[in-house]
Amino acid sequence: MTTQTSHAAGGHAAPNVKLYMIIFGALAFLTLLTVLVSYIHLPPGPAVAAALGIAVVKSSLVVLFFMHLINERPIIYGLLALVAFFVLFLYLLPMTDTIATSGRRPAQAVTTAVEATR
Amino acid sequence: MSSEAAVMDVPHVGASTGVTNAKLGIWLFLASEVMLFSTLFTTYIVLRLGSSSWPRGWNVLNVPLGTVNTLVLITSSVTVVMAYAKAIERKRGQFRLFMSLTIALGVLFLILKGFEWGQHFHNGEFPSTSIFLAAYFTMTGLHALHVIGGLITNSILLWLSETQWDHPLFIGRVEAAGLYWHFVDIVWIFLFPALYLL
Repeated sequence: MTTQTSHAAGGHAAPNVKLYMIIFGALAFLTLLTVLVSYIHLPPGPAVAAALGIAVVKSSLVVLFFMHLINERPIIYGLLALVAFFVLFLYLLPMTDTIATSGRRPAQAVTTAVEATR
Repeated sequence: MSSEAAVMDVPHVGASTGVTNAKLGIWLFLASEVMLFSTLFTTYIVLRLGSSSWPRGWNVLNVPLGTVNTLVLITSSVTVVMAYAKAIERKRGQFRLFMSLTIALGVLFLILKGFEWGQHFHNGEFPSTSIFLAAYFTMTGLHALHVIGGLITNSILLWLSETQWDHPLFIGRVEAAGLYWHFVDIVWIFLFPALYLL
């Protein structure tokens, strides 16, 4: 069995079957954990943090070990860094607008936005 | 010879990138897919924050079925990476076994999802019923389309393994298809808690 620290011939990621099984167990456990946590009926803030936190850990395990990003070439890291940059804007810009207009009625928010453009 | 030099000697590995064209291409495609699904998630968040009331997933959706579907998709992620491992090890029989399992699990996911949608329609719940259901049907529907795309790709690779097993690009194609399938799994990893549990 090859290790995770090398590439197979042809520039392909080297497989590690034992590691795949460990990650599979972790993913199954975290799936059940996220469902169990939702049974507790936490307040909205902690509930979102717990669900999102577990989802981030699960997706990181998939990306790092199943998609072999842990041992990828620099060009792939650069590509993903660019994606992360734009995704950040994609989330932050609407969030900023939502927070800025929270507490106002939609009509008021639209009026404010129109006036701001004059 | 160093491993770096060995990689560069392979004809279809880009000399400047160090990765195969298939791998670079699929990562570029996945980058566009990340933007697509991020747009949907952003829309979901804005709609949710802007709504005066929002149903809890537990009260509207079938959480046990969603949990089973999550485990089905995670298992299919393992089987597809095992198919890739067997392609690297040049074990065609085991590759075909794991790729067939991946396809079967993908079909099972769609059957369970179809059953869930059928329950909603039977109860008179449609995308036009509420903003929550509009978001739910849009996001899970687009995800299901991606699952169907992955199933078609994996089925073609299973078929090609008969005639093109020794083709120099075959492993790269399996690796690219696997990366796409894992991405579909990751999207569901975020969809499940966002729609069902919160």
